[in-house]
Amino acid sequence: MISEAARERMRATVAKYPVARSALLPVLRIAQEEEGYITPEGLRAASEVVGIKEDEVEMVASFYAMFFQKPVGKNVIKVCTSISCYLRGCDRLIKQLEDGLGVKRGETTPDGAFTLLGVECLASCGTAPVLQVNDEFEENVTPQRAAELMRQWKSEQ
Amino acid sequence: MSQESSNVPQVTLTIDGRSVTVPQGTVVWKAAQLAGIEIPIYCYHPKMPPLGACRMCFVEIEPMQPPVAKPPQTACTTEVREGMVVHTDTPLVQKARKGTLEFLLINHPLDCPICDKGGECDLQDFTLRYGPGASRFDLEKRHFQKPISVSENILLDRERCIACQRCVRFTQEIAQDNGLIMLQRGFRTEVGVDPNAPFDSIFSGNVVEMCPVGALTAKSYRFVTRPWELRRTPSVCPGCAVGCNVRVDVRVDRILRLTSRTNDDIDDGWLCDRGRWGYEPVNDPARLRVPLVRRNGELHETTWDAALDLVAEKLKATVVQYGSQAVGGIGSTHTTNEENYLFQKALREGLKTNNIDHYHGRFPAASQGAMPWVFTGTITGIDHAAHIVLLGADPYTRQPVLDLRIKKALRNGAKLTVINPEPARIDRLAARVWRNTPGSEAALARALMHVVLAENLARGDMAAGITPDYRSRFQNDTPERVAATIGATADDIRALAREIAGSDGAVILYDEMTTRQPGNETLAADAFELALLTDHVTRPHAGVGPLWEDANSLGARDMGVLPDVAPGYRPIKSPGMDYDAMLGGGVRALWVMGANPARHVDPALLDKLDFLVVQEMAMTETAKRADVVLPALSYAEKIGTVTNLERCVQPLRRALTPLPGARADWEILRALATRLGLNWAYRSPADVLTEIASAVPLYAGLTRVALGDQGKRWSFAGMPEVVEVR
Repeated sequence: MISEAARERMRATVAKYPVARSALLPVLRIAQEEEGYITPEGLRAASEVVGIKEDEVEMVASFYAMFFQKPVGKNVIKVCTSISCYLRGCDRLIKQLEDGLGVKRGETTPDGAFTLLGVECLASCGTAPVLQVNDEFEENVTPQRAAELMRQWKSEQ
Repeated sequence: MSQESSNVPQVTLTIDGRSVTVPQGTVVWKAAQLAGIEIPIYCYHPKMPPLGACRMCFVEIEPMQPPVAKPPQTACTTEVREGMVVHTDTPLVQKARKGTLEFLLINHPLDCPICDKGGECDLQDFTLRYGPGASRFDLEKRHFQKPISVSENILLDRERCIACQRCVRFTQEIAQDNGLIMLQRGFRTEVGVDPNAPFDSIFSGNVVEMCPVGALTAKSYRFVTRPWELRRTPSVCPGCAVGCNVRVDVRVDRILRLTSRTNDDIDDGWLCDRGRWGYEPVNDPARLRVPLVRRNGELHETTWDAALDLVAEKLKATVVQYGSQAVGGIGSTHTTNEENYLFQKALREGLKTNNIDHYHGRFPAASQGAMPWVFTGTITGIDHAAHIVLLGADPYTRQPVLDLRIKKALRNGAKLTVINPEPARIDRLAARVWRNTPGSEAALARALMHVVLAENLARGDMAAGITPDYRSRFQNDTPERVAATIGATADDIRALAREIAGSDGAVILYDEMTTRQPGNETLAADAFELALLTDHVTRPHAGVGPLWEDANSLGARDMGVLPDVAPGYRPIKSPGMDYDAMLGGGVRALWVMGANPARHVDPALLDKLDFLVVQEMAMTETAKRADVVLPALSYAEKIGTVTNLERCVQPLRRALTPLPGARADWEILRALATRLGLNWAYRSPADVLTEIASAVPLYAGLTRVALGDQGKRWSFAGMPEVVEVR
């Protein structure tokens, strides 16, 4: 469900731009915040608010990896797999998270609490390896820190 | 060349040692093409803005300040500069092309032997000319379910796709309609459709033609032939009054496809699906092949001589018994100018009757040099119109390729006003949409003139000659009076009148058949007068007129298939009966050529005729009621000319061996004329055109040679001398 309040925020966003279609990315973000991923209803709402055809919205939504095409868990953990993080052990970090959470990369835990993703550069190469939990950075993630993070996440559930 | 280009500065550059001069702003690819040098392309399409996605068109451009060497550049995105030196065949360019092709071929299945595109495929051709002979990629290629259906008529083999985006950009930027989209990104990129927005555009077939590989194929053409088996003939689409130029591709005795034969002045390189896939009636095995005569209430096969003798005998007997007023003829908006000319000539000279008409919109007689049924602008003029007013017209469904012109004008900044009782696809792009009551269009035109006169907005030649009498002419047509039927307020109507009167170029279009709505009796004249008052008749990028229904609707009028005028609109002293009068019991014997009046009037009226002869390709509702049916040939099996909605006379060529048994309408007419005592010596439609060119002032000087491949437009300026006939 895209609430009326969310539609209102979308309209306010569109109003900020001289050309309505420039607002498409922030409008899609609102749709995703509202429903967790980009649903057919989210596409339709964005198309109505921005005033472009629905298939054009889908082209954009499917192009950007940060818009989810299917439901994700309550917490989304994105681990950077680009060059700096790779050199600083992201493969080991992902393996540790997979074992600890009980899912493979790209999957969501059966209770819907966690989704584990490998992503391209998060623009924090100086503090590799890095991950994001719900868009919050965790930097210089050592095996000890990863174990601690997992304990913390689970305790918050 | 269009009038704009003459003002653009010219730039001279050198490509592969050849000097080329082109207008500023031209891209290197186009300049090379003009110089006869091929630069391979995939994503670039001359009718769309550059994209630079496929990296196939690399060329080397000599640096302006040596020794700063530059990497190869894309010819499709680089604009020409004065003195530029371009090389398209250096080792660096060859290496770049090989590299691009090797990447494109990584996932391409190389199923050329079973691919419909094989033989006319840009990937196949460019790989042969510029590509590597072998691949270094020895891993598993991408696999997809194949093919998937992306629309009712089109299949997609995703493995073959090279992601050039031509198809997607056509549907999104040119057709601006529900279409194909690019899904995902990077190596996962694929073409697809949004399940909530099905690819149901009437322009869908263009993506098949644009696809440089065999990814998008037409269901109708899948696995039916190889391209080198086709015989290709330039012709004109018979689908509607736009007259798009086509190439008819024939194998043995069947049309297998129609493709675009770009004519920038008319179709801009596009076709609609109705035209592209509308050839089935020509291939239909149920077509008429043998003349039929009615005996004991049933139609029986007979010989041509027996049928023609009977027709001549019956028509002559009716004239003898009841006079010339008792016979009449209904001509065709589908057959050629030559055939319509002969048809009215046979009736006028052979049967001495002016009872001649065809099914058409309602137009007043010509007066004072004005022919309100003539669209005074041109199709290309629409490109740069400032304002387009669709007054009861829906080109998307009726004259589709014109809809793409309107969208082109909108991209160029035009404003669109739609006044239509029904919702139309173009509404989405309009600045103003009014839902009027059918038949109120003429009243709106008069209300607009009321405002123009009341607010002194008239311009041009008319403005000076406005008399007090004239000023009061539309006194009662106030915007307030029509507002309710127009679906707008009086102020809206005033605003539209001011916009039209102040516009740099307004194109005012109505559908031919809108004039038939009760209430619109004077629509053609009112719309014309509105354009006269606001000076949009002859202004560039402006014009007023009807959008005709059929491929030769205007030609049938030009050729005098009308009760009150001879060919070229020469008035006739004693006009005959019109369409409705003839069918409403006015005549006893009716001669119908390529028309289906049973669709327009109560078919029972046809049963009341003493005698009905029909020249037709198929067993239509009218043919079923005929006493004699004469099997006719299609547009693809004969030569002749047709005239499109902007007065362009275009040649048809014979693409297909004539169906055995059937005859061209002009041959049927010649055979009947001989039996009616006329001495006709026409050997072919070319002889008839020669006569038309000398007898019809509008068509003066037209010969098949003069028409060339893309036809000639007759000029409406200067109404021909009024010569009274009979």
